[in-house]
Amino acid sequence: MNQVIGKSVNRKDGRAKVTGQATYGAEHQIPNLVHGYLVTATIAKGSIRNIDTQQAAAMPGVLAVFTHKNPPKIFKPSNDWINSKIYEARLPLSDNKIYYAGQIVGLVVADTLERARHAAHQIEIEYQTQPPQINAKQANYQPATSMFGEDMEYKAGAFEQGDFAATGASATATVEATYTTEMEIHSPMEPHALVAHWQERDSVTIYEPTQWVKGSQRTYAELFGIPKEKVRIVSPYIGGGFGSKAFPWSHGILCVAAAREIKRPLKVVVSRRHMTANTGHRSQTEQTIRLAANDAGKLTAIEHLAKSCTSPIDVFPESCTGITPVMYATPNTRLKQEIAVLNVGRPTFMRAPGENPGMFALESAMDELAWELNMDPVELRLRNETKEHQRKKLPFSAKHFAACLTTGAEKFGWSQRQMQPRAQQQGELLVGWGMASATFPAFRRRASAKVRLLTDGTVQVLTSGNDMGTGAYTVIAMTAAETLGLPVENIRVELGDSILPDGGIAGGSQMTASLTPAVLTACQKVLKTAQANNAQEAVAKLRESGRAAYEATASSAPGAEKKQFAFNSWGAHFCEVTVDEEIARLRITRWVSVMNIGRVLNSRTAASQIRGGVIMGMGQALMEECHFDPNTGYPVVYDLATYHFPAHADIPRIEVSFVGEPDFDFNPMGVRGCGEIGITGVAAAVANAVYHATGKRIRSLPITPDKLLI
Amino acid sequence: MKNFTYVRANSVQDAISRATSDRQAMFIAGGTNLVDRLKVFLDEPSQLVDVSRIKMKQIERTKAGGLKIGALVTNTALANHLEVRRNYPLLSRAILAGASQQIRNMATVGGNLMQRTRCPYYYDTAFSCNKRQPNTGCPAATGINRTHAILGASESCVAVNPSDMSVAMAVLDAVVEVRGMEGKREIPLIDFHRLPGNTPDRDTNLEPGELITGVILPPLPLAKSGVYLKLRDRASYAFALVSVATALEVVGEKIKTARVALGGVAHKPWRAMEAEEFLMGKAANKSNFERAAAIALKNAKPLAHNGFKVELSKRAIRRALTISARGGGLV
Amino acid sequence: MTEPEKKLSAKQRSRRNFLGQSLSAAGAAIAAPSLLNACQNKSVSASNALVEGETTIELKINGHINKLNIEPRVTLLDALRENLGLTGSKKGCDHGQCGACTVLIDGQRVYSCLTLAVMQEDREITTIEGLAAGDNLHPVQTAFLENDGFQCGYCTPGQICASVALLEEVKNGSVSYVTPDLTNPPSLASLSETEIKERLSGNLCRCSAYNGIVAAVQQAVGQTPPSPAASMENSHAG
Repeated sequence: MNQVIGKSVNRKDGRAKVTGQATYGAEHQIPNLVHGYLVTATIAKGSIRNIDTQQAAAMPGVLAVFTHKNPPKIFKPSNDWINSKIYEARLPLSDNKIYYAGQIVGLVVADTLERARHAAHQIEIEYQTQPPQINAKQANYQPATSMFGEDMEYKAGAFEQGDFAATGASATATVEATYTTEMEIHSPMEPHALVAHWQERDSVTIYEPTQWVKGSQRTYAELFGIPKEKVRIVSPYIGGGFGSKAFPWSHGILCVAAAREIKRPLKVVVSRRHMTANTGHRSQTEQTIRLAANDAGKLTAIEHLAKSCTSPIDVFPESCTGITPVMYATPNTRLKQEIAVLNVGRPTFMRAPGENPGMFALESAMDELAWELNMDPVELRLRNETKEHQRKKLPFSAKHFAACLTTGAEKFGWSQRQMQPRAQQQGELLVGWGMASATFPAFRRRASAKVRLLTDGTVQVLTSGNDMGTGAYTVIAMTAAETLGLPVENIRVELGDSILPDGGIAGGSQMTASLTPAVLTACQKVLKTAQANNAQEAVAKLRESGRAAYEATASSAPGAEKKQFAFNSWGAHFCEVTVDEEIARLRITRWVSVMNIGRVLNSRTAASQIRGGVIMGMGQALMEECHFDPNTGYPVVYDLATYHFPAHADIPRIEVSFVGEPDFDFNPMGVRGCGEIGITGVAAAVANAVYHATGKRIRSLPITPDKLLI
Repeated sequence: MKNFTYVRANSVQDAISRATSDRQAMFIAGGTNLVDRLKVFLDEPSQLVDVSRIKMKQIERTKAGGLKIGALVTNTALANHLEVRRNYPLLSRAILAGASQQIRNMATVGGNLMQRTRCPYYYDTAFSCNKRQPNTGCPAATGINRTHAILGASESCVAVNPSDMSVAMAVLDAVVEVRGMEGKREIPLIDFHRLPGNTPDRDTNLEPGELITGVILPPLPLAKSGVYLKLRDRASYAFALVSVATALEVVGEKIKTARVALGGVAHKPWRAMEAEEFLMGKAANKSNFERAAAIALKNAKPLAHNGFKVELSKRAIRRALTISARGGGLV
Repeated sequence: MTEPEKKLSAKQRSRRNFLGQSLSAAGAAIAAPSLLNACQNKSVSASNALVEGETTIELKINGHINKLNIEPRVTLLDALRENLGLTGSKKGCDHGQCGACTVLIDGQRVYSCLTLAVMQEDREITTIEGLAAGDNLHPVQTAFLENDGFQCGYCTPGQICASVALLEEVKNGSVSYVTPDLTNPPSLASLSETEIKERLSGNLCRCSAYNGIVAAVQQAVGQTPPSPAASMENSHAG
């Protein structure tokens, strides 16, 4: 029986966070520390003709100015995803070329932040300017190529089965529509920041928020030509990442490089403005979907063509079509992904990369199809459920998508929905109900943890994996508590340090699924070492033995199950919106999400993860968009006043439920992860509710007041 | 941010003389807009004269039965003042619609009147901008201008005034009291801010060295029917796409007096006098409100991305007048 | 004791002790050593002679006077974080657009990034580090903990400081944009979710722990919030 697993448990890191003692990247202040401030390009394409740093260098407190004319030494990394990975394939300050506005062109180091910032502003740059390509609609699209090897399960998004062209005539209902999403910015509350502290010329400690501690360690080692054992990454807390803090960015590389040159500990905090341009975003997308269904409401064909954009300095496709062969059974499928280059910074993983915009398009189209068929959209989805992954040709394990739909409908009161638009009103407000499905693949990779049982009955769990607000500290402690039969209070978890065993990556919703099985095994090994059945027995033996601790390290990795099953999580969202049509005011007033994620370790932190995803999806649905000046290519949305994401006032209560049983085919903990699934389908549920309320089908996000006026 | 010297003024006179003797000096009170601008090098004063400790924090009844508001009254204090909530509810509502509690706690009435546009082109020195540096051009006019002006703009500037408070004050016939070396003068609020014309670098008619000392609200019974409606991209903590302040005095079935002003659409709070005149003597009904709204927007000149503001403004006016006709309240 | 350490206030010393102890506690383990240095580091500047462009000021923070030599252009937030080692107040945007830097000045919540340190002499400044009484958390801190009012934790000090002030504002009869009748402000007991959300909208949370934060405020004002946990419609026995 479960002692703690599945219960609602306070966060282990909670006390540190509510008292201001949790220490983030820029807060590791080292004696003798100095400050770096970035200089960035104000043009989007061209080159630097002349850069005048004389005045800046002569200012009080200024210690150094780095530009492409005197770049600090940086080696080229393998950048192969396995040994090392950097976000921007082009190294900072490697030449005088400008590929996007906001590209780093210099770093000023001074004794205070104020002096560094002021001096950075005094640097004069003369550019040779070329017209930038900034308009996604006019860009030159090419078939997307895969950025990963096949073994990493990512495809370029192209896939075909059956005969799409032949099915059109036999369809009862068809939908063909184009959906667009705008460029979105991760906008973690903690800006990108780091402190680099070289002890000698070949040994460095880097305090940096990173979702992948060991990857960061290996990458910095390659960049600076030193053994990875000489690089220590310290990242106990991350103030939000959402995909933007997985690998070193150019500012990080430059900070570490400059610190080595100036022989002082150096802090670089990327300003919110700079962050907008040079620390990642989700590309805008344009997706055309064609659906055909017979009179029983069974899909006979799906075509999904997706376009996204990337940067001249690196390639990152937003793989929208990945979800299409997963979601609904369709004999005839055609998927295609295209990509074009714009003069923008590098797009990257942002919460459910691909799945999220893909699900906006697919789930909007499914809603349109339901109206065409005059069928309840929940029923349409139930009729088209697929038991197998149609690209991998493997059955899904522990899939309870139908239960998500039916439970959600029940909790929401969906049966009361009027089957026509504009039929529900509340005083002067139009009321709309919408729903959409959710899905995200379940990933895991090899991860390791060390467990130490001490004589006082407390336990240390040590691993490099980390917690960016996901609840990892807590679920790791709960796993150890459950396995050892101890209270959660007895477990101390230390995370986010590269000297600890490899805990994997906090990305792809896989930290919990990768790491907790390793913790489980390590705890079991401790008991085995002690030849004890539980922690109490083990502690008694330990005290007798005179030793300090029983200790074990264990790893857990995926195996043959990947050849037998496809692993995905599932869900359904139901929402209510009100529209004050006269003044184009849209509010989301009610929300129910039901998720099937395998075993839920902590019903509180898991609920928060889902809510967080849903709310980021609401932001995408209602307000998030980044734009660039069409003439210069410089961003005109560049801070948290111009880039809106939801505030308290935008957000209703979100009711979260979980269905299904542990997925033991996936891993020994039965857990699949829940960091990203929450966001998928959200924007579609909102747009579908807006249609139900108003009769207006809005196919381009975000649904801002101007679009409701049309 | 450039460094500067910092002095605390101990009186209005002290502040004015410091600012007069150093033309590169600037006043600071709440600092919510100025500190922000300093950080991005929009202003580079040699000296900051801190006026925040001068005693101008009173709200007093005037002999005429209105209110005199000290320039250093915080936005929070003004919005929560009982007389304001009772007699000028749209002013409370407008202030509370702006920014956040933290900013309203810091920001003063004088500072609110002096805040500058949040046009993203003005706000980043990467762009040229006539407001920041005359005769360098206005990239917003041909750029992304979804949030920009539809009324009263010029070729040299399409920025909008960001204040909510000023829009309410515009319909309340507020008068700004200022002091300079030459003495005291009063400027009607609707003449305090300027249209951009060829001098978009000047937001207001305040002369160098002059300091706002207060705002006078005349007694205005119809203000009790006042409505402030703000429409924006986020439900709170966002600047207006369009905002509207209205008030009506209805006697019998007919409108005796009407007040309409728009925010988020022009370089200054936009009082719609012609629409007000139209409404005088008319029945307080939807079709008249619609016609008044059309009159208010008849000279609108939308840019490439902000055409929707014309329709949104009209609808906001219609709605706000409808609520005012019912006696006011929350929209 | 080294010269710089003598300059530490009693509060900072107790903070150092707390951190020293927390070395073994979960989560804070790795954070602590470098923070220990922070206080030492920054007191050095206070003991130095004035550099050109700097001025000497005294700031009263969490009940203790701190003497600093700083340039007038230093914001209160940067003075706290870079000069005094009080990194609990967070820099999210540095432009008054996010609320992470919220502190209390004379009991009022403000954005410390939008005010200059030099302007805050003679004021009572309270930061997140000053809310708890020793080991006893402030009731709002406890409420955040129990209602999962945070995830990554970066906006949390600002949300908590804002919530502490919000309670006082409601007690004092303040109104908000969404108060239906401006002459009839809500009481703590009648404070609606809509009111709480409007009043806290100056504090953004990208992890979006908004439901938990609202629940925490409800708990702090004496209302009964909904459970932060999900409804478990399944058997997770294993």
